[in-house]
Amino acid sequence: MKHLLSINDLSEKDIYKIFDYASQFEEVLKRPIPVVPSLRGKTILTLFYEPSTRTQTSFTLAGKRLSCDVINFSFSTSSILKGESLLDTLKNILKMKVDGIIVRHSVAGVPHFLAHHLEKENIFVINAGDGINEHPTQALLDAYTIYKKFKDFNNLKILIIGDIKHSRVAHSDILIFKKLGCKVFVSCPYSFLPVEFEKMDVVYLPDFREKLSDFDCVIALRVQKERHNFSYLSSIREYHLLYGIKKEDLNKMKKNALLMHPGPVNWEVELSYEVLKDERCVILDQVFNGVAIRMAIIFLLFQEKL
Amino acid sequence: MKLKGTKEINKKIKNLAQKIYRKHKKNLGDLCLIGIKRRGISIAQRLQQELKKLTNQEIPLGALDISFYRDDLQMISLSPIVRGSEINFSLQDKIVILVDDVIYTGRTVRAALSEILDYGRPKKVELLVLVDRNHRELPIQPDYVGFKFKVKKEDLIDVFLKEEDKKEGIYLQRR
Amino acid sequence: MKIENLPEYLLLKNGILIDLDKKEKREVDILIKEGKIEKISKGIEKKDKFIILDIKDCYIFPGLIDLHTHLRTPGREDEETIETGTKAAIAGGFTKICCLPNTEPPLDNESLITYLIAENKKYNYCDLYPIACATKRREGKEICDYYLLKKAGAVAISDDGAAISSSQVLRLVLEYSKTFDLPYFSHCEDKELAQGVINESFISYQLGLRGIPDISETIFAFRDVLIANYVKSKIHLCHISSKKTIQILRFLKENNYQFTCETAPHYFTLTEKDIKNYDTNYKVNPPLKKEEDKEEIKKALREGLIDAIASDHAPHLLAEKEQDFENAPFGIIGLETCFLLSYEELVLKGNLTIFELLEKFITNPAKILGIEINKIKENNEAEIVIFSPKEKYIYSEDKVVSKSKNTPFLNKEFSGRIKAVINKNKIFYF
Repeated sequence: MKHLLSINDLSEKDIYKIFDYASQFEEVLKRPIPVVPSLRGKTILTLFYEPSTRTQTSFTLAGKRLSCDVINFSFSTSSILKGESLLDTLKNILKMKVDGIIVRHSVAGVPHFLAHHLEKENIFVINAGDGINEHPTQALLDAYTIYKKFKDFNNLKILIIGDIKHSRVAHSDILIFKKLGCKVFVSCPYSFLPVEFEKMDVVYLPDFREKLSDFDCVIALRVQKERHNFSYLSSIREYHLLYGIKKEDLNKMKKNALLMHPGPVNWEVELSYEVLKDERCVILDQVFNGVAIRMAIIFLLFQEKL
Repeated sequence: MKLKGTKEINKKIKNLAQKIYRKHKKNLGDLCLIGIKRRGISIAQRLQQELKKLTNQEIPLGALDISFYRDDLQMISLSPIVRGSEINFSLQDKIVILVDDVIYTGRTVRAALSEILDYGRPKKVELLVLVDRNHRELPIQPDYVGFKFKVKKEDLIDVFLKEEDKKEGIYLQRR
Repeated sequence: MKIENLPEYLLLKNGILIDLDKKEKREVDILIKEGKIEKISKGIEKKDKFIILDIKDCYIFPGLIDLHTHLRTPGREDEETIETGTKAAIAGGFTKICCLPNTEPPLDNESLITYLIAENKKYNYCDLYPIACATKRREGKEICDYYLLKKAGAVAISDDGAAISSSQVLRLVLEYSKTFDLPYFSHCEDKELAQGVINESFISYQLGLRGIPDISETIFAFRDVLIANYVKSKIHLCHISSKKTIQILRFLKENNYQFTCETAPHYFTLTEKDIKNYDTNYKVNPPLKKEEDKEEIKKALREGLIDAIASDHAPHLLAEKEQDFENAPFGIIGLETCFLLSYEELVLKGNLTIFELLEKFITNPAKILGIEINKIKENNEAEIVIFSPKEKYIYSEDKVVSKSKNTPFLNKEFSGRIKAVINKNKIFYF
């Protein structure tokens, strides 16, 4: 693969290869000196038009653990604030002789646009989230987390709760889980369901609680009250009542099930604080896995460049 | 062309184990074996068995995959699936016997040394190879050598071991 | 109005049962024991302990359902209270009513729904089905907690009195309400277009009053049904009053769009011509329209395009109604006259049969709300209206049960009268 823009770019084989490398990088991350010199002398640029400490940090760490030089452009960086156009930013990138860029933007398709223009320069692009479209590295780390526990994806039952319509995490997650052979379920109010959702080949559950014991994995998505000035939620309390995961819900879940969340968590909205203590809640593992997965992706994209 | 067969290989490994034992009789507790890539690990395992017969102790064994330490990324895409390193014990103050099947340019050993030092600070690192085929590109010499062969740079020396391959033996292919 | 507890045995004799299932009338006696229907048949034998009520020539049918009432509680108990409002309902033959949320404070919080239901239980004359706000404070911006509102007893959501101007907000309302299977009751009005007090026509010009174009209702009726069908959610249109709206609804129905709708009696009995001397008892929203609108409404009722008839009972203080036409509030009371007007205009004049009329008052409203009717069957609770179709009845001021008296039908002589209502182990005499 030349770039990582969408889960659709990856074959099942590619995905397992990424998992393989990620597991080795996990071992590296646990060493006293958690660095390998593989990408010494190489440079990557993280270009974050939307603020995000966590993902940007995760990618930065991943690059550094590979001995790569990492440059960070973020929302508060003056040139982006000044409204520099994408093409101008591109020209700057080319002058700086970077080998790859990691981009997050509030508009879908920006990573694709950059990839198209950077292709002939042999600079790879990783999509770190484009609007409400995709967030492929999150989906990969989510799938990896599940892979480490269950090994076999076939017929695994996964439930995603939240704003399916506007969540790039949900979109990429659904794509990857379907690709790997899982049965995907979603639960949310109708206002969060995309039009013609039947075409996603996913089961919609208006009320998931009675079926909680069926699932091997439950993913709670972050909720945003307002989107484009319209209030999609009636209130936090009703959302938490109907769609939040609380201690009582954990009691209904399988003993070996996983509870996940892409973060950052709105406590007492998507999850009650008490669930963090439960061993099935692997939110912190997801963060660690994220660095390993991103190391694998960066490493493999560099290989492909050659 | 077959240079050496199973019998000779096993005899040599036994021989090398004895050399290690004699040298480190007084510090057996600090000793550990680390095999490089795949075949180095097989050889290290056989050494471990021989040392057990000699000392009645199980010398700790680790595996090293130097893929991420190579100075040429290109080589990684050519080599088989990366297996990963596995060292389940601390290297602090240990006497590490680094084991590989063949030493040639010395670059593999250099990578292995870098990687080992990222695991901690051993007291000493020694190098054991089954085959030395010369033509070094770096100033690295083994402490224990099984067989020394004088061959041209372009000649191919292959070590096959039954743990990894269907046959066993040291083979030469002249170009 | 007299309210008495039912005797242990009440025997209704010589009534005419309107059987809605079989669509037939038949002479029956009905024996009611301890509030339950014990026996329905001809010639039930009298026994000593029976109290007998001779209801010769009277129709017997189940209690009516009003989909659209304003009870003004909480906040304007000076205009109507739960007690007076539910009494007025019974006086009109209604044993089940929906009350709308444009109260003060508006019904956008579940505690208010709980309060209304509890308050109604104190009097327990009829069943109260509150309709909650669709948006917070009916401002048309944020959706309410529909789950909690439904749990407390709300049967539908509406911002009635106001339309939701933003199509995007309406979409969110319909999507979220679909999650809990709550129908949306739509007040169709393009507020910016409808800056007036009377129907816009030659008459409004002659009276010098600002007019409301009839299309203001049609535009929003069309828009609302389209959005509801796009997200596949339940929608019910309130107080349909115009021919153009009916034409659009006909088109939508032919193209398989799903919706239900209601009208109020004043839209098929009055027109703008009836407004004389700036009498504010003719000031309603949507406003009274032309003869052709009135006729089209009746046609739509005959076709079955309009599913229900509702009162849109809107009490106002005399002090508020006795103002100039511009400033007086919109609305007239209607619970007590709704059925009488409908019977006279639709059944007596041959537009509908009595069965078709009762479908508009009982069967269809029940379907729209998703509630069960207490049919007139043995072993059911007695929830019965006794209606005398031939009796003349003058609706004089002393007869008005509602706390407010703002109606254009004061002193009108009706053909037909509700004699009594039996509900909740009580009998209400008029």
